[in-house]
Amino acid sequence: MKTPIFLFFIFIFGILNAQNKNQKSDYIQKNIEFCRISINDSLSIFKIQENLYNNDIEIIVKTENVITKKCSAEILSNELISILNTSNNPLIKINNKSIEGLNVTDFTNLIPNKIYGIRKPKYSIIKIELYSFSYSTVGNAYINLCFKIDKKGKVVGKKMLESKSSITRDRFNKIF
Amino acid sequence: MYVCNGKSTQKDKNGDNIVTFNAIESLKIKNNVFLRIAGLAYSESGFSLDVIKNIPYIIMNHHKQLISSKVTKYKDNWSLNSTIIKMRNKWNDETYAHTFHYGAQGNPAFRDFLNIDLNETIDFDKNAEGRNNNVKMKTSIEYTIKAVQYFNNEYIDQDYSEGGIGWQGADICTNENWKKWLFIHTDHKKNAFKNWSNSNILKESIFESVSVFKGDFGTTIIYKSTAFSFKNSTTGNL
Repeated sequence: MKTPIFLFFIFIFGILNAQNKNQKSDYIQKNIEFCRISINDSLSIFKIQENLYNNDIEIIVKTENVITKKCSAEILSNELISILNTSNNPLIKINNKSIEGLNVTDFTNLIPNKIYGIRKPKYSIIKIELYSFSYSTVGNAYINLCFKIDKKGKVVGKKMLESKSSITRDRFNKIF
Repeated sequence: MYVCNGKSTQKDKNGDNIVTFNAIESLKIKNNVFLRIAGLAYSESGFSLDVIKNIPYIIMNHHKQLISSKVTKYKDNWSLNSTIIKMRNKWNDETYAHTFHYGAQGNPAFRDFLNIDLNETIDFDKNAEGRNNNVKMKTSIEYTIKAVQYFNNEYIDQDYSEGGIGWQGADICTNENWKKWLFIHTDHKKNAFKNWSNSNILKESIFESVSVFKGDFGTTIIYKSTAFSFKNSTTGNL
C-alpha cells in the first residue's frame, strides 16, 4: 500500500517541479486551457487567466465559435455582460492594466490556442496565440497578440500579427 | 438567373443571323450569389478540378444542414448568401478580393475570376465572357448550376461532395485542435495528409473525412459532420 502513495507523491512533486522549471526557463510554451461561456446562438465568451514570469494576464475573447466545449457552470458576471456591449475584441489586461489598441475585426470565430513567453535580461515578451476557425480554407489563421513587458511589469510594446501557420520561436524572438 | 442547354444561330425575317439560347429556364438564384459560389469554388480549390466540382455542393449541404437545424437564427431569414459569407469567414467581396491578411493581399484567384485588378471595384459581370475561355472557371460555373439544381431538388443526380460540409488545406496538419475535431479515414490519409494521426476515435470526433484531392496548389480534404456531432448539436456543429 505504501508504494502507490509514494509514487503518487513522486508524481505530484514531478508536476510541481516541471511548472517551477518552466517559470525559471527563458522560454515557455503552453496550451491555454479554456471553456466557452455561451451567451446565445451567435455569441460566446472565453475568459482566460494566465501568469507568465510573474505577469498576470487576463484575456476575454468574444467568439462565434460553436465547436469548442462549453463551460459546465459559469455565472455570467456583470463584468462579462458589460464586455458584450463593447466593440473591441479581445479585451486584455496585463498586470491589471487594460491594453488598448489591439482589435481583431476581420476574424470572429476565435479560439484561444497557446501562450508563449521569452525572458530577456531587461524585459519579457509574451505572445497569446488565438486560432481563427473556419469551415473552409478562407480565414483559417493564427492571430498573435504580442507584448513587451519591462521588469516592473509595465507593457512597453505591443503588436498584433496574423499568420497562416503558428509562428516559429526564432521569429517570435525577433518580434520586438 | 437563367440557364440554357446551348446556343443556335437562326435567320431573322431580314435574313440576318441571330443567336438564340435553347431551353432557357430560371435557376432561382441571384446572379451575384451564383457567381460568389462559383468564384469561391475556383479560388479555394488549389486549382484541382475535383475540388472545384465539390465546393458548390458543399455550400449547398452546409446551407441545408443549417436551415434544417433547430437553431433560431437559421430558421426564418437565413439565406443561401448568408451561408456563403459564413463559409468565407464572414468576409464581404471587397475583403475577400483585396484586404491584406496573413501575408497575402486579398485572393488573386478571385480577382482573376472577376478579371479585376487589386483594389478595383467588384464587378461580377465584367468577366462574363472571359470565364468561358478558362476550363477551371467554366467548370466552376457548370458545377454551380448542378449544385443549385440539386439544392432546388430539380436535379436527380449524385451529391458530388458525398455529404461534404467543409474543406481544408494541409495547414491543419500542424494544428492539434483539428486533430481532435477531424477524423481522417485511412483511405484519405494520402498526399499532404499521409502522416495525419487522429487524436480521437470516430465516435468522439466532430467531423470525418469524405475525400482528398491534390491540385496544382496543394492538397484539399473534404469533410462532413459525424453522427457524434449531430448528437450534440442539431446543426452538426456548424
